[in-house]
Amino acid sequence: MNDSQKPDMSSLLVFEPFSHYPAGLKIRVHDASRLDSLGRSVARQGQDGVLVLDLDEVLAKSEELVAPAAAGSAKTR
Amino acid sequence: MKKFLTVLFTVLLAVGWQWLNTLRGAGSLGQATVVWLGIALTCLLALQQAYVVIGSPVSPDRPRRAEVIANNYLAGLLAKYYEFMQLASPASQPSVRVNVMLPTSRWKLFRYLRIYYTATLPGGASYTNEERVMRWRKSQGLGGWAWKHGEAGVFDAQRDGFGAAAKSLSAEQKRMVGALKSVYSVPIWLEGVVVGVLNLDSDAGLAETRFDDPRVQQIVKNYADNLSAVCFVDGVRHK
Repeated sequence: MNDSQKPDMSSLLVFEPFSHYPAGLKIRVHDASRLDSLGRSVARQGQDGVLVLDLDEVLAKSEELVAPAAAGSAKTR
Repeated sequence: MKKFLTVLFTVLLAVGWQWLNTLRGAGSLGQATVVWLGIALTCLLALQQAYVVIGSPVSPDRPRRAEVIANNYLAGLLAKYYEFMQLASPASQPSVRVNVMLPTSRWKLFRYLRIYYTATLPGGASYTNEERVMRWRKSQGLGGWAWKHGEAGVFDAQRDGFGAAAKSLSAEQKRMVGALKSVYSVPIWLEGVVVGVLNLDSDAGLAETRFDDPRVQQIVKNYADNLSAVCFVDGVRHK
């Protein structure tokens, strides 16, 4: 097997654990320390003062952040 | 080499008595010497057998290598939990994290639970370094309780009858988990031994998380059964 026939191991090893969450999921977060920087940038204050995280929005923003990096790595190939 | 030495040591201890009797019969050893050597042999044999019975914890490298698979599987559990919750009450859901603690031991004796595998929601903060290395003895917290009794347990900070686990915590542990309002801990069994504890925790109470709902508990228990594949009968060796 030459190099061109070898599978791309890096792509095989990527898991997509977030792809199976139901659509339209909104998470109520009482404790803001349970959010990472991405979560904090997306979370909105609800009427009762609790933070609400729209998971679809988080995933979309996460993809936005990954897309330029992926495009950059494709160019270098 | 280690196995060879173990076998050699066991044989020497086992036939030691025979040699003592032979040497005493030949007049090479006095009665008092034989008694003292006999006591020493008995103690050594007891220690050696205890060492064998206690088992051999795996290297910390083993759970580290299983981490990617285990974390992904736990993320699957979170997704399944939210799938159920979304069907049950579509409005909004509580923030829940998942972790698996494994028994860890120093010198095969001093055992405690420690977090090895985790999963959080996208946008959710991962477990802090402090949380990851915190030690939980048997009966400390709900995880320690589940480890000791081999039973699943529910904790709610506000409801009577669900807060007993909080009383067993040290000051440091209380500070760390003070923001948790509900927890569900399930023991992971393998070969008749509790080899780990699967924990779901939240900053929302039971009324929101529904950890006391039998359907939620069934989902979590199904995942706990399969997680035994990334746990170890004799636990993990302390680093």
